[in-house]
Amino acid sequence: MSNDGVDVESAPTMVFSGRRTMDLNSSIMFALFLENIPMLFFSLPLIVAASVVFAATHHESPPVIWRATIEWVMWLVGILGAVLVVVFILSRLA
Amino acid sequence: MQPPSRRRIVAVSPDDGSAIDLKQPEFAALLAWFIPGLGHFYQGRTRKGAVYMSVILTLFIAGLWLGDGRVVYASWRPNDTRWWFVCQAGIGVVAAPAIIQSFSITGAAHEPFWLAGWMTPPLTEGQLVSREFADRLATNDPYIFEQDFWDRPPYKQFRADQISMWHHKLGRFFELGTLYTVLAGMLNMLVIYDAWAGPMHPFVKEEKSRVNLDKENKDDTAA
Repeated sequence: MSNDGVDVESAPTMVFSGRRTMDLNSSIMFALFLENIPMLFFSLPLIVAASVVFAATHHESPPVIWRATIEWVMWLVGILGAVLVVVFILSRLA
Repeated sequence: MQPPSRRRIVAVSPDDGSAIDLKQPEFAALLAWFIPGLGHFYQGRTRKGAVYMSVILTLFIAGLWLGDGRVVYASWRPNDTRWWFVCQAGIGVVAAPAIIQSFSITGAAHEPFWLAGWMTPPLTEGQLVSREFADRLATNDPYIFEQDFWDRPPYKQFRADQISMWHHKLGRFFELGTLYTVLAGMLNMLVIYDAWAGPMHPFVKEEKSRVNLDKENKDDTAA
């Protein structure tokens, strides 16, 4: 009991346990991820455009160009997605 | 052997092995820089030229639209050096107005060639501009007021920082628009190379096919 009559021991504290801090970080990270979804959306045209040009510079026949475009899209999405996941994990560990 | 003037320069298609007439490759490359895909039209590779033209010009125009026409400008001032423009200039004549606007506003006229202000470098603090351009900005730009100019007859002197206004107005779309236009210019470098030298041959596939051929030859001799 303190001098001004407040029961200090039973008062609610603002100390988070380790688990709760982790949950808070996760929700902040998820909110940040959601906030950046429009930016991810804007990256798709860039990936498609780059894939078309990469494919067209390696082939001459249009059907082959379109097939190669799909391959390039998958490669670029895979690489950029992997980078995004690595950055996300690193930011959680930091 | 044909004389040099009549010699044909060809590339080999990696898909079916057919010959691609590159005509004058240097001229085709110049045309490809001038307008994306134009070099391929000159070489008779019309479908490929149409693909390049539509993809790259769409990307560039989309970037301009996202950035409200502000993201492509040429500026070499000490406090505002726009290195991105080096990449954006890869798209050729479409980025040329930025150079005209830059020379015009830093020249004796102190106003852009096209007063609407597209592709004009941002005004910096202390920059002199013509009265007509200052009045136009104060009327049309919601971020600029008459109080933002000092009267310096026969000119007016800007007393704010326009690039900050653009960033405040456009937010992340300024960077997005810049990225789109820069990528369009850089992708056109590949198009220029394609017009000059023909399609790139994937080295790995070539090696694989050679190995397969060797195997087939061995099988044939064994049989």
